[in-house]
Order: sequence, then C-alpha cells, then structure tokens
Amino acid sequence: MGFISDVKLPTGNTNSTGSGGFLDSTYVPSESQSNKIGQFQNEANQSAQESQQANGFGNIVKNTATGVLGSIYNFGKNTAQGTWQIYQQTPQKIVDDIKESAKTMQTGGTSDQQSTGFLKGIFKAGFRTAADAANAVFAPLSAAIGSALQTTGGSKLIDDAGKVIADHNGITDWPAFQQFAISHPNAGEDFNRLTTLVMSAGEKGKIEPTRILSDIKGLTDKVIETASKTESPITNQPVLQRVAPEAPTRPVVESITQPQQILPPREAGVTKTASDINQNLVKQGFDALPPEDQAKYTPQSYKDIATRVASMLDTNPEDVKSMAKGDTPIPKDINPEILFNAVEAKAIKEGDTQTLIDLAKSPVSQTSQAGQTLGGHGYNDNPNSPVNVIKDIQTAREKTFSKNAGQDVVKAKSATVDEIASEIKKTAPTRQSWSDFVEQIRCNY
Amino acid sequence: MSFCLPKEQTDKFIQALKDGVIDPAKLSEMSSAERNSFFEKIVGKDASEVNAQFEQKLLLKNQQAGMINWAKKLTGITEQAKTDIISKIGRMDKVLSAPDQQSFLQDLASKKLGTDVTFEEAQKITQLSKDIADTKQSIPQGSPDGSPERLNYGAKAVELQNYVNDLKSSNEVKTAGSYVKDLPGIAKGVKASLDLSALFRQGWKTIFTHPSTWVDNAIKSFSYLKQLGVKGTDNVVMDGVKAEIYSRDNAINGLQRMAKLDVGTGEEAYPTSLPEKIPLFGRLFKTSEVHYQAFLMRLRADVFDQYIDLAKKNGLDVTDKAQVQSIGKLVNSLTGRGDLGRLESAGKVINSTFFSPKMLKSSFDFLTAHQFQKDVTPFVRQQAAINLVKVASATAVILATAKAINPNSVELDPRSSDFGKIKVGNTRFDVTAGMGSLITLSSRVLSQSSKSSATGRVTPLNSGKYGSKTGGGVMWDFAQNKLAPAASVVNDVFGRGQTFKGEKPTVSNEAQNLLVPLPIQNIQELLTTPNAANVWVASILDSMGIVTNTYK
Repeated sequence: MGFISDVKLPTGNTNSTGSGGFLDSTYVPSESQSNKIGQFQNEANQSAQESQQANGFGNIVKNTATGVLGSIYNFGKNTAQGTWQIYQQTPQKIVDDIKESAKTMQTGGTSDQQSTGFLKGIFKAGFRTAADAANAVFAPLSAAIGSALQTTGGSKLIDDAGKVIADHNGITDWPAFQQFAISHPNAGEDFNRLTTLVMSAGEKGKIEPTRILSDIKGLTDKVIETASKTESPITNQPVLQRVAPEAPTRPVVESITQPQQILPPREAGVTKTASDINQNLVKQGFDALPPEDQAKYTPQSYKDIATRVASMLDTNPEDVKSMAKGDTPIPKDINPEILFNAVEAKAIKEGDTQTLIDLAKSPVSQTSQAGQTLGGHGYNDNPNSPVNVIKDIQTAREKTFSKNAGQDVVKAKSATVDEIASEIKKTAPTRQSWSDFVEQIRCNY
Repeated sequence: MSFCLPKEQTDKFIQALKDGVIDPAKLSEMSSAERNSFFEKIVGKDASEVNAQFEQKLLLKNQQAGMINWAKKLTGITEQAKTDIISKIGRMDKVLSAPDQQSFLQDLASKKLGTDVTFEEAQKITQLSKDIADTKQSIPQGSPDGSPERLNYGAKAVELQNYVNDLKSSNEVKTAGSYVKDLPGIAKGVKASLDLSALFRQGWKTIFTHPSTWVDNAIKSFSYLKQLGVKGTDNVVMDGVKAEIYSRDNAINGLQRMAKLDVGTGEEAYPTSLPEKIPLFGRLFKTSEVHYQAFLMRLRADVFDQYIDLAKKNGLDVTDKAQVQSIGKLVNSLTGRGDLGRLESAGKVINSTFFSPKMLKSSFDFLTAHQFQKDVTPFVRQQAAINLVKVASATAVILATAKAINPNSVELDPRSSDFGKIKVGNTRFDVTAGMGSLITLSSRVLSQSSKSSATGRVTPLNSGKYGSKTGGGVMWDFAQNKLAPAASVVNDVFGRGQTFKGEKPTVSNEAQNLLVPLPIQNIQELLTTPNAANVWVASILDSMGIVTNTYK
C-alpha cells in the first residue's frame, strides 16, 4: 500500500450524473484542490525515493558525517555568535551599570534613605560592573557552554526541569515572589552575574598571554565604541575644527563681578571710536590683572584710573608707551599696573612686536612689587600675555644654555659684551678718519 | 639746508687733531653731552651740530662696523640667528649712549648665546596673542562653558602654549650625559606606563565624592583611547582637552591659575617623554601618558568648577586668594596631586627619588582632611571632612561585602600590611588607592607593634630582641617601598644588599625592576605565584588602578 492510499481527500464536489452507477459518486476536485493533490503526490514520491536511498550503507555514513559536522558547525557558530553578542552588550552594560549606580550614589546625603541609596549605589557599581566584566572575560567559555547545551538539547531539558519545579512548588504564584519580580526587574540578570562571579572565582588555570591581549583588545574596542557613541567631544581634526560644540553638562558658572566699562570724557580731537578702543584696552589691562589685584579696586577707584590712562592713550600714546618701557617716569597718580597692561593690550591689537619685545625688557614691571609677587611676570600672570611668554622663553633658554654649556649665563653674556666692545674699539675713528670727516663738512666759501 | 663748518673752525679742528688736543679714542668713549662741551672749546657755537654730524656719519657707522665685524666672525650659531643679529645692528639709527650701548650689547650677546627671542618668533607670538585676544572678545556675555566661541578661544590658547613650549626647548642639546641624567625619569615613566591606572588610582576618591563627574570623565577617557591608537593623534587629544579646560570661565577669569590647579602642568608619573621614542613601546607609552593626563586634567577642572560653584552658593568670596588656593589644594589632593609646600622647589630631585611623592602627600592630606595644612580655609576643611567620611564609608562597605563573601579575604587589623586590601588566594587587591599603607604605618608606630601579613603574628616594636623591628625600621621600610625605580636599584645594590623580594641584586633582576612596566611585572607575579587570583581579572583591575600584589 502506497503512501497515496493514506491521503484523505478533501471534501469536494460530488457530481451525480446518474444513480447507482460507477460514475454516480465520482469526485471532481476543484482546480486548487487538484494542485494540492499534485503537490502531496510529489512529496510522497520524493520521500519514497529518499527512503530507498537511505537504506544504503554509504548513505548512512554520509548522513551521519553530515549530521556530526553540522552539529560541530552549529556549535562553533553559536559559540562565536554568543561570544560576540556578550562582547557587544558588555560595554553598554558596564556603562549602564556605572551610570545607574552613580545615579543611586549621587542621591547620598543626609537622610537615612539617601544614605542607603548611596551605599546601595556603591554595591551596585562594584557588583554589577565586576560581574559584567567577568562575564566578558569568560564570554568564550559561557558561550561555549550555552552552545553545547543548545546542541545537545540540554538547554531544553533545563528549561523543562525548571518549569516542572516551578509549577510543582507553585513559587510563581506566591504574591511575594510576584511582588519581588515586579520591584526587581533586574533580579534575574543579577543572579546570572552572581553565577558568573562564582564561576570566575573558580578559574585557576593558566591563560595564554596572547589570548589575554586579544580579549582585552576586543573588550576595550567595544567599550570605546560604546563610549564614543555616548559622547565624542574630540575628533581627529586640526585644533580649530576639532572643537565642535559640546552640550554644556555643568551649570553655567557666574563670572566674577567686575566693574562695568567706564566711559571717560572725550579729549578734544580724539574720535569716539579711538577713545572707545582705548577704553577697551584699559579694561583689557585691568582684566589681565590677577583676580586678587582686581579685587583691590573699587568701582570708583577703577573708574578714576581707567579714565586717566585712557585719556593719556587718547592724547599721547607714544608717551604712555615710553613710560611702560621704562624710558620715562610714570606719574605718581597713575597705577603702573594698569598702564603697563593697557600698553601691552594696545601693542597686541596693533601687532606691534617691537613694543612687546621692549616691554618684556622693561625695568618697570620687573622692579615693581607686583612683579616680585608674580615671580617676575610683571603686572599679570596671564599665560597668554606675549610679554610673559617672551620672558618665560628667555628664562627657559638661559637655563638650557647653562645646562648645555656648563657655564653661568650672566658670565657668558658679560664675556660676549666684552668681545663686541673690543671689536667696536678696533673700528673706532682714527685721526685720519676724523680729519677726512672734518674736510667733508668744511664750507666751500 | 645742509650744515657746513666754516673754514676757520675747520682749520682749528684739524690743528687740534694734529696737536693731540683731540684724542679720537677718548672722543668715542664720551657721552653726547660731554662731546658737546668738548667741541664748544674748539668750534664754539657750532659744537652741537658738529657732534650730531660726527655721531651720525662717523661714530654710528664705526660702531655698526665693529659690531658687524664681530657678528660675521660668529660660529656655532645658525645663519638665521646671524642674520637676525646683523639686521638688529642695521636698524640702529643713532649712536648709543654708554648705558644704552650696554643694554644693546647685552641683547646681541643674548642672541649669540641663543637665549633671546628672535624678532620672527616674537612676531608669531604677537600674532597668536592677537588671535587669542580677538577670540576672547568674541565670546558673548553669558556664553556657557563648552560653547563654540569659548572652544575657539581655548584652541588658540593651546596653539600659543604649544608654540611657546617648542621654543623653550629649541636650544636643548641632547648628549649622552643628559640621557643618563634623565634615566630616573625614563625608568619611572616606563614602569608607570601600559595601563589606565589613573581611573581607579588618582581618581579613586572622586568615585565616592563626585561619582557622576568621575563616570563622565572615565567614559570620555575611553574615547580618547580610540584616537590614541593612531600615530600623531595624541596631541590632538591633549590639545582638545586643554582647549576645553582653558576656555572655561574659571580659566579665563584666572581662578584656575590663582588656585594653582594642576592642569597642563604634567603628571609626576611621566616626568619625561623620552620613552616615546622607543619603537612600538613608544606608542603604548604615549597612549598611557595621554590617557592619564587627559583624564586627570579634565576631572580636576570639573571638580574645581563644582567647588567654586559651591563656595559661591555659600556666599564665599571667590576672589579671595586664600579661599581659592585652599580649594585648589583640596581638588589637587582629591585627584592625587598633593602640595609639597617648600619642597616643591626641589620637586625634580624628590620626583627622581620617590615614585609618587605628590600622590603620597595627597593621601596624607586627604586622610587628615587637610587639618595639618596651613592657610586652608574652614570651608575647605569642612569639605575635606565630608569627603573623608564618604570615602571611608564606601571603602568600609566594599571591605565588608568582601568579608561577607569570604571571611578570610579581609584583614581588619590596621597593623598588617593586608589592611585595606581584599585577599583572593595570595593576591591582594588594594581598595584604598594606596592610602591603606599610611594607616598601617601610623598604626604600627602608634601601637608600637606590627602584624605580619604572612604569619599573622603580632610582634612588638623596639623590643630589643635580636631581629625585632624598631619604629625607625618600620618607617624606613615604608620609605623604601615608595622609592622610584632608579633610587630603588641604588638602594638594593648599595643599601640593603637585596631586592624587594629578598633576592641578591643582579644585573638581570635590577634591570627588570628598573624597566619592566608594572602591569607586566604584575602578570608575571600572578602567573608564577601559586594560588594567585585569576590572572585576567587581577591584571585588568591592576591596569585600571586597583593595585594588586601577589606573594606567598
């Protein structure tokens, strides 16, 4: 009896063309039913053919080998996929663990509940991150176990056993259990973490250094990738392009209250624009002072001094420059600090390199009290001040010279000055050159 | 109309020259005023004009000729420097008076010695300063930290700083002797490299005092690593971090500088960048260094901003130098940079002698809540006390948890060197970021007894028995454990005559002590010591700053 004889035909149209005859109850299938029947017949024939072939020894061997290889392939594939999945998830898990724990800890404060939260946060941070890190370290092993259980049907057995136990003791019906499950959605995951930690404590075997390195690299790469997705403030670009706007994460800090810009009366002949610029330069000079020096000024005293210096810059900038360079004395009612810094600000604005070099050598800032307290930096400790920068470079180079040459820089300079002076003496005017010179300027009448 | 000297005066002048009344050498040495009076005796009212002509046409040219002759003979300087000198001489437009001449010649001497800043260098500095001033001006009022305008300003400030740093070291000449001098720094840098230890070492305390700030910075620090894999991007990472920090309000308004906040000053674990030049290892070294510095710089700046905010909220004056410097001390010490006080000036020697003196001092300041530090304000003392309680409680919880899991894993007796550590097999995990050793030292000294971590026996100090320890011996042991690699080798060879492990010093084991990075040494210990903790877990934790020690 063939397979076809078992096929139960679907209820179709019965065409009664006569009564009691052979064709009386002939079944006439519809077109779609005919197709299905054809399909069934094909499948039946194919199965019969396969069954025949499978009875041969060669085929048994072939099928067995294919099955084993397939299982090994599936085992390897599942292990690799499982490991990869753990590596993929771990960085985000660690980030989440830490963030969540930090959030819990951050609530730490004075009340009992908050203190508990703080401690809980510490515990969560330690336990969860350690377990997730250990999970990543043991990823190949745990994935292999999982894969083996899946391949051998062990996982289904464990699931079924767990279901039977749970159903039998009715634990899942306990209100307390249900409540716990609702209030601790991560409990299952935490249990897995605990088992991972227990498993890692039992690991004592030696581990190949190459494996350690490759695993660490893999883990690190993933952590970086995840972290980069979280926030990547710096890109591999030149400085200016690199500084892409970053959303402020901290509250805006209120700047120190400083005196408002003071507008002095304009001098005759000085345009408003020029006067404004000088006002601004004086303010920059004031801003460059260390905060503790700024604090010495009241708004009124600042207004007085700013007005005076700005007015001098308006009317006679060269004189002010000369004062800052130490060539002419600074009037007693003028604060040298602000004047000096204003001249520096003006030189920066105008790109006046020579003045900045001169200011760096100026005895004015070096002999002042402020200069002493600021370690020779003159009237400000701004690291972006070109005067400071020039001085710093000179000092550093002098130290390096002494180190390289093994001699004191002051003595070396003094010896060089003597050398130059001696060369100048050699070219000093002689009687003849004097005589020639006087002849040159003699009147012709 | 050009000046001319009448015939009569000219003849007088020539006669005076012939008679020796005019001594050309003496005339050259006189000041302008002296020459004027001298000439008055010979040429009368035309004296000042004669002198002016003399200075301009004769003396100036002679002075310039003398100087140029000197400049042309110069050797050992670059052509650029020589051109710079000659150009400076050429720019002279008047004869120099004696004091001016001295100053001018000093300048020329500086140029010859290579200690001066050239005009071109100064020009570049001027331009960069101008850019900084312009970008600073363009920051709108109330612009938040991290805004594009601020970052643009920060980037310019970093550009200037980098240029200046290059110029400062441009006349450095590296000789064999200088490499020998740098050896202690090289050894320390190599030992401290190949890890990310700042996270849990210097950053440990902030995990409990400023957790979200620590997390934020730790995550960011991993993003730095991604870029550090590629050569040439290290500076991009550092520059980016610095630009962001320099552009903050508290940097622009000078509070960071006033507080002496350690940002951009380099870290003690990396006193030299020379190991960067070692092929392959140099990349890993640089990666560790940049991660270490960038993480700590940003962490420090963030915590500082928070304390300044807190001080303001408490109504404190943040222009008060004492207040701001106290906050600076608090933040520096919270992130592993203790203030060495008067010893700061000898920082290089101390840094060569001890492994991390600032870290040690920061631990001391932290444990004593800055009570022994002068000039620390009540606000900072209060914050330091709060921090101490937070960290102590958290550490206690960690240790208690470990003890609950395994009662033998935690030592409660502070006289034992295992105090503050979690013991897994023969491996100890330090969960105090090194502060436990200070507690152990003080406990031993105060109780006059010591507990062995190996045998658990408690022995009294200064008992007078043969082989027993003394108080001084305990302190000396502590100091020896804190020595820098090079100093430790010197001590092994010439001092105690044995290594830390009790072996006889040999070239091989001392070379290892000197140059094998700590993480590698740690893995070696874990692999060779029986009953050690899991190598992977221990080495990962160690590389992130949870220091492990493995011994029987």
